[in-house]
Amino acid sequence: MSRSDRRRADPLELLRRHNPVDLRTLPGTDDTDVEMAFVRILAGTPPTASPRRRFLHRRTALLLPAALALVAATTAVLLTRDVSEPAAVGCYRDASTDADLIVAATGNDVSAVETCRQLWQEGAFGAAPPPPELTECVLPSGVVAVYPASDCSAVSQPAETSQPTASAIPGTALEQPLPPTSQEHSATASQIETARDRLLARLLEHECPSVEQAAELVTEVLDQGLLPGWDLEVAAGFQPSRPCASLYFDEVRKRIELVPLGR
Amino acid sequence: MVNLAAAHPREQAFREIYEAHYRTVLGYCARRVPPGADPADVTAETFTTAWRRFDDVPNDHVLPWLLATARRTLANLYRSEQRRRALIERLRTTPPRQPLDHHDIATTSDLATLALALAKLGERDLEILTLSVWEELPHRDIARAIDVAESTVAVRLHRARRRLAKEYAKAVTGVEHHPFEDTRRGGGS
Repeated sequence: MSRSDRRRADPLELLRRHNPVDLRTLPGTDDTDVEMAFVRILAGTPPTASPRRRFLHRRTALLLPAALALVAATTAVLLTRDVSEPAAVGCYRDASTDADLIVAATGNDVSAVETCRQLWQEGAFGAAPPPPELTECVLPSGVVAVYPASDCSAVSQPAETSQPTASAIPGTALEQPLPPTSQEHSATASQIETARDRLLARLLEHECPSVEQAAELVTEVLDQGLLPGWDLEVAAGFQPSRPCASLYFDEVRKRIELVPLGR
Repeated sequence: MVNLAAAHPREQAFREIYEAHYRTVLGYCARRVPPGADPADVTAETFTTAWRRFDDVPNDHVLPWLLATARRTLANLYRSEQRRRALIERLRTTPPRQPLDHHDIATTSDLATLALALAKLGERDLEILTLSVWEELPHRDIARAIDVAESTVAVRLHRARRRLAKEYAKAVTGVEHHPFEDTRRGGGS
């Protein structure tokens, strides 16, 4: 076959055969970064096409799956908690839902505001001194957020994301009686909450918990019968560039999944 | 007051959409963002819009809606010429993967020829061709993605194919030229 014959190939077919992006090579939603993006989309603080917004602290990445569990899979957990004691909190650099943020865990005795203040003092937001006022708000998604503002009404939101403003008043979001459906989930939610808190506390003892260390901790908690019917699952993707294990609570599938994160 | 009990199934429904279509939307963006841009960020912007406007997302046409949103997001971020050049340049620099058939092996030179031909086409032709052969959308979904009637898609696609074939035939003799050297005028439609 001569070269000119070959050039008679249908250019449309040529175009079809040379699709420059093979979907099979792209990350899917089992990828940790993709999951992180999902959490931030729900929280109203997605990554942008500029490189401005990103996680600023290693501890952030480690704990983000806990936030994911709060937002997506175990929303009922939030219903049983006082808003002043969230398991995870989003600490924002500026008084805007569009600002840089760090997601961090909160301890039993540390408030969301105090957690974020500590991050400021540790220099997680750069050299800037901690703002004089930090305010705790509840995003429409239920995520607890702390802003450098005097009150939640000062927090700017993109116009398209305007949600019922009552939810932005600190301390009020969960004070009203819970809807009946939430009570049905409270027992399971309470168990999940307890298990998650125990696991997070133990996991945070490690700088970068290996999958083996995390698996041992999870197995220990599961053996205690805290989560009847739940199993451990290890996600694919642990590799030298992502050696640290974090947790994802999948309430639907009743799985605690170990997911890989970078250092 | 946030009704979390009501929000939960809503978030679950959104998660299902995210899981079902993330990779396709990412692929769409990856084929079109300029070098150095992160298609994952554009994809995130697209799904953010979907979450904000969740009530507007049509249950039975989710993917076309998402691709239309991704298209608008790209349009807001990058100029038309940037996107057009990115798409063609990506094709030009992608090594051949599959032979057309057992008689015919596409070469880098073939792709350069194709890139040259594509560079002669307008953005509208490019978009409809690539939605058809790369995203593999049926006419019905292309129509929703670019917001035209389904019958219009058939006509436009036919014309775009014809223009591509014509430009490809012409390009066979000019493959040594860089696709953008003599096509800065943009190629019509």
